[in-house]
Amino acid sequence: MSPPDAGPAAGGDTVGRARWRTRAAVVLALAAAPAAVAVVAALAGRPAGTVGALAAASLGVAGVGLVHAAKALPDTAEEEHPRAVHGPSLSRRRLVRGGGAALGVAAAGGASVAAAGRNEEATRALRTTAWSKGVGVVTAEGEAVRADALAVGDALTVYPSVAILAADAQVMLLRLAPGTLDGDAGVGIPDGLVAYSRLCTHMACPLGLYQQRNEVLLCPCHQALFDVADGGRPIIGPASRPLPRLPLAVDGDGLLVADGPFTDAVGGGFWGRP
Amino acid sequence: MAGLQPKRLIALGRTRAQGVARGAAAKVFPTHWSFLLGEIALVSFVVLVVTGTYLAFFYDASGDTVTYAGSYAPLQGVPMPAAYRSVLDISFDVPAGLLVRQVHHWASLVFIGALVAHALRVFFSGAFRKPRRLNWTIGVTMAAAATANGFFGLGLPGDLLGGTGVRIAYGFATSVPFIGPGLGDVVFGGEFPDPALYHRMWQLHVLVLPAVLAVLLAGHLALVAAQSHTQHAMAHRARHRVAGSRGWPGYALKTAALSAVVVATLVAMGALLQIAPIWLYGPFNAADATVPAQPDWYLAWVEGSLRIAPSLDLRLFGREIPGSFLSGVVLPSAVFTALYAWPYLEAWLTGDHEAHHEAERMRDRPVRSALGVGACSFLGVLVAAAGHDVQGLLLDVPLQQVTRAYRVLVLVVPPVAAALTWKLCRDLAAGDGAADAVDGPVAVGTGAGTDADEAVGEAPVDEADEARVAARGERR
Repeated sequence: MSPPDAGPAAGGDTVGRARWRTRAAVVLALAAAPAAVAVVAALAGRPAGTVGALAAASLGVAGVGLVHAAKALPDTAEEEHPRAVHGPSLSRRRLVRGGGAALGVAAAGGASVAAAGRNEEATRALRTTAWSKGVGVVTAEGEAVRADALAVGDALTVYPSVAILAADAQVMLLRLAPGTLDGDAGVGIPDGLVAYSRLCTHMACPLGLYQQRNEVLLCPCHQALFDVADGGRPIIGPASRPLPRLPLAVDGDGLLVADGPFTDAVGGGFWGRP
Repeated sequence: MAGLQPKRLIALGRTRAQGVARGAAAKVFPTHWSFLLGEIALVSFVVLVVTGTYLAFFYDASGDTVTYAGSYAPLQGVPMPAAYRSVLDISFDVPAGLLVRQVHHWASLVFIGALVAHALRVFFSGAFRKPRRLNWTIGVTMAAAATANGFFGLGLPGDLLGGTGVRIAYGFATSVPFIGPGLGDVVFGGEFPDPALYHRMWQLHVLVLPAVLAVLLAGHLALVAAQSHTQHAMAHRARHRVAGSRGWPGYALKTAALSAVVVATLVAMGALLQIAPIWLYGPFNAADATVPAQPDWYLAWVEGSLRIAPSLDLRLFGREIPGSFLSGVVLPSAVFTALYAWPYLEAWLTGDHEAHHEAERMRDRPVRSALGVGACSFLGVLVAAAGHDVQGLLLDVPLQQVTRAYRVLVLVVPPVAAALTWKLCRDLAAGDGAADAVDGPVAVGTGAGTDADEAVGEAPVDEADEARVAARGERR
């Protein structure tokens, strides 16, 4: 086997030691200069960014200088590798591993039990919104929307009068040229006014970008594209479901109201979606 | 409990007392640069704790709607969550608040970056092998905790970008089979967005996860101290010996220098480089999202997979499995399971159950190196894909084509990178073998085990190795 350690640094290279101490002292003195300027700048009320940059400069000088100082030291020492020590003993190893695994299982189990207990109610909440037959259509400011409010090509974000700004009830109201939408999609689309859920069916991001020219809604999060002229069908990107549609009707005063709830659960995919 | 006999306990206690009090100064630390990566992570963690403590003095973990009346004029009179207002106050009215906030955010990016670089060093040099498998497990857990904590940190300010990220995480929770909606309700405090969220994220961000990280860090370092580092085999160094500099003064000086440089860099970044200007994003509002929206880099692989995953319509027990389940739950679970399992998997695959104290070179383990590079390039493509909308805009390429390109790249790049790595490793190792045969031993990393790679390795490598070991008379 190898002889016991007698590395050059064990006894110490006195010349190297003296030199690193000198160098370290010089370095700290040099670093003190920008530090002092930083303190003065801070006291003088200079912006925190300036003070921070000066403090960083001081630390940087100290760091680089200490590397220089360390180079004065003899670099090589050797010792026997602590081969005998294989970390904690087997029982402690088991304790750590078993304890960690038990903690993880307990946390996951507890969360699962709690989640299972809340699942039915939470699923119902995800499936429903404040929209139902006869609920008034209003803007974010709460103003009722008239059936003749939008010109062809216009878009407006609207909410149910009973839950203004509710995240899951936001709707993109669009007026398409009459005849744009095909077939039975026309039910609940008075005079080309079509209303889609404004939540992407991928991850429920708000569909804030309406491209009038191509009649598409774009999701800013993961770039799913929906064709509003084709029943809200996803055409590009990660979404797989069409946008739920809100059937509309016009009441006696010429104001828009919902003609029922959304055609499907709004938002991204969740377990138990119909 | 055979390991806890009194004699052994006393011996253990003595070893520890000596190890801490006297041993540290004489302990030999390797000097290779790659051993500093873990230290950079350590220093960044300390910076995070210090800056985070300062920020905690002023942060208000409340989702109550308030009206802003602070010194940032464009947002005066705007309704917003109280949490967002407090971060605006930190940025504009608290002394050095913006500086500390920016240092904190930069330090989080550097922390996880250094952590990943450190893990790569450990992986590719085989330092995770027995007896260090437990420490690898601890490290992987720290990476998971750090990533989660970074995510909560992004959500805390209540800005539009962070809120969008939390909304996506809520989607992941509700996508879990059987209990998804209930899980979202329990974890996020109700249907998103819920004001209770800020309190939860806050407790997790400043108490639970930092405590987990601190405990794991202590265990990690204690194990390193007990087991020492793995080191590359060198011609001048006998096997089973550590070469480097002593704890005092050499290592202490270098660590002080490194700490100063890391802190200096982080403070300089915080002072000079803007990050997360939340006043430009605006407060979170369920009807808006920022464009473009990219998360911090360590979350980007999940974001990228969300963007390029095909819109599959998978079903289980007659129910739809949302695409977000694959990207947000299956992918991260698979990555971390693979990380946890690898040391055991490799031992099982190679039949090498021995303890190892020598670091290996990538070329001497072509299969492991190829798998590692393949996995890294897979995640790398996903990270790049997280910016695919911006790239399409810059290159003036339609988004659809960028998406398609990434769908191809994510399948093609990893096997190609793995194959190239394997070939490169084999060629380099063969070159070493030839050089050894002519010039005698230089620096060759050798595993003591019976790796499958070696079984098919070039003959000269093994012969040269045998010769060198025999010459030293160190055959076990």
